[in-house]
Amino acid sequence: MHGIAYDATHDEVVVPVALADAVLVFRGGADGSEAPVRVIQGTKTKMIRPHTVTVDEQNNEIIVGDSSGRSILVFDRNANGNVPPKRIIQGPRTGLLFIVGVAVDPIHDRLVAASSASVPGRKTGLFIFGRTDQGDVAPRAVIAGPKTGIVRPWQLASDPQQGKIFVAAINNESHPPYELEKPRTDLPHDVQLPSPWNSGALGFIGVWDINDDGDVPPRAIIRGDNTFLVHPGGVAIDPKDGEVFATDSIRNGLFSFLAPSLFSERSRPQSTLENGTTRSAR
Amino acid sequence: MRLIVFFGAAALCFFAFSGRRAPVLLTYSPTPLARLAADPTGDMCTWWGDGGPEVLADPQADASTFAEGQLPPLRYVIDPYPTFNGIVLDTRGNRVLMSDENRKSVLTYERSAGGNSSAVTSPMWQIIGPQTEVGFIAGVEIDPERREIYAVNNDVEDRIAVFDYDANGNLKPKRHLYVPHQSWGISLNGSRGEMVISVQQLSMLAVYRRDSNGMDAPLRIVKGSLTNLADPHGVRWDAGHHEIIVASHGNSTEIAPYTAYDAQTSPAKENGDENILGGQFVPPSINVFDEAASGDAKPVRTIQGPNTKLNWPMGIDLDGTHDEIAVANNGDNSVLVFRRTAQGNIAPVRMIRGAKTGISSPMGVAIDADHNELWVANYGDHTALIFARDATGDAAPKRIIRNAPAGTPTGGFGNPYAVAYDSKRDQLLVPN
Repeated sequence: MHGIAYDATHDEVVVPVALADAVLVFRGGADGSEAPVRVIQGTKTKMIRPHTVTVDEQNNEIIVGDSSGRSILVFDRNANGNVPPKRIIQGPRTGLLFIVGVAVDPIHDRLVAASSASVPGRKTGLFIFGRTDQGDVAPRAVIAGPKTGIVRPWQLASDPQQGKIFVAAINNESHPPYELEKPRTDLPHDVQLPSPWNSGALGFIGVWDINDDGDVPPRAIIRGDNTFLVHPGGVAIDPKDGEVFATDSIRNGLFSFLAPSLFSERSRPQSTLENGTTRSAR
Repeated sequence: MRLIVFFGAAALCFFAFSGRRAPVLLTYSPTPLARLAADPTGDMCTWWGDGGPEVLADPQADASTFAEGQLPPLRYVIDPYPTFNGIVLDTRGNRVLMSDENRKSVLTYERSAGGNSSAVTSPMWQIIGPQTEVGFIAGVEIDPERREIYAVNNDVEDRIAVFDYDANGNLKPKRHLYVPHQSWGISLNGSRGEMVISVQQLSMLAVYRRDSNGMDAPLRIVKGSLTNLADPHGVRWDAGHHEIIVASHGNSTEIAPYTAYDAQTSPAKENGDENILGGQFVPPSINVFDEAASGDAKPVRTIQGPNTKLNWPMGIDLDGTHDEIAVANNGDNSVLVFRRTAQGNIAPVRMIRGAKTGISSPMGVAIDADHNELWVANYGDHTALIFARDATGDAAPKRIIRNAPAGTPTGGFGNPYAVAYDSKRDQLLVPN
């Protein structure tokens, strides 16, 4: 599974299951082989390969990014069974292709999708829509281009209080040799595709403003040898304690960064270390 | 519905870690990589103390500069040891090979290795490093005749890397074969000069020539609604009976092209909603096909239903001498043994399960009929367990191979691509 979301208001965990066209909702704290409390699955859902998910706790909606459908599907938070989405963003005007991350900002009324494209004329980056947009609509803004440093985005996290979007820029090279069960005909027999060890640009966690647009650099970045991050795919935040969390598949690990200044609109807590000193990002 | 929700739950495997622990003061090793390998606490939840690298840059107040924030992690969860996944035995050559998903390697041990020690068992060889093309590895297979090792990458890398039998260290594969995304299991048939792989997200088997390489296409595929394949994993070619045995988890769907390289947009909109078949959770199964099966072929036998106790069946092996098949039953921390010709909703003839067994999230199983042993590759513990071949119930293993000191916890991560923060419990949720 390449997505997960926690709904703090209702204490629920939401996960997409790409291999069974489903979105599962578990109670918070679920453990072991515990059954989900709700399952969204079936032909009416219009899901084909649900890849990523987020929850709009304020507006009671579950938002799904579908990589096969090239679509963003919005369900009622309490949806259960074979039910249609409330809204769909889908079509050539959207610019969406390989959708791998979604985030919502109910305060600024925006919906953000991370989408990758390796075909001519298409963009890789962050596609920002109105929260209630639907149909074949153009994004209100697109954060993409060389200055962004985003080669390949992945999971997103939103901090609506600050109007900030946290982006896991995984940035690894991944050229699938097959289109489903068929070898790609445009690749020569002796092609040398990138290996996991020859992995392209260094990944990072970047922060953008919800109102950013175009080829703009991140307003903050966690990147480099000292971070240990190589290709971070997952990102989550704890604004209260000023922490940023990241997963990295190359490290096969989970990292926590104390960066209270990234949440500057809030109080800046400092962590107290065992030796009595305090530490905060500077 | 009960089955649906049960297997829905089984399909979810996320790990929660407490977000707060007392900090531990560590000494920094010279390089970041070395730091990752060294964990003086012996604990995977490692905390950084003060005295290390400083934060080099502030978050930028405006978007005009692209500065790097070399922020060291406050803490991390990394397992510095291998985790066993696939397993294959060469009884004549007296060796056993296991794939390691965590460190991205293939380890070779002597067949008689292991014991009752709590110390790490030294491998004979380990294929590991940037040259190897081994990444998120799953299945592993050997060709004793040609003295070759086959390693299947499951995610990201989309290739099988082939090495010489005695390969060791950081070396290039002698050849590689690109395969569909999420390939998992592999089995060779030397007499036919072919190999079969399972492909998770396509619910498919693909058969290639044994010496295929590069972009060679499969000779034939088995795929379609009649096959009963649903998220297949372990596969074993029964050359003696001209059959292919495959274990399926039960996740079923028909996906459309989805990658950044596929130009199509919105298939449902362009082609109509009939293209959306809808996914489903079906009971896990073991299906047996004729070895020449092709296309949307029906299995010749199917083991499926609640009596089977199948729950996330992973690796599978055949005991031709005793006419049995064994499967690593990951979701139930058990190993199930069926008669080779079993079919329907039938109970296993034996089950190894219980606290004494040490079986924890098993990924692979291998039967050594020559030495009357059954091997289990654990993912949830840093061990491979060797049982008597006919062990049953809550039996203790005869000996244990350890890839970490006894008691070392495993992170359980498998290519983690997402994370969520549970603010109510102060926990982090990581799906695999």
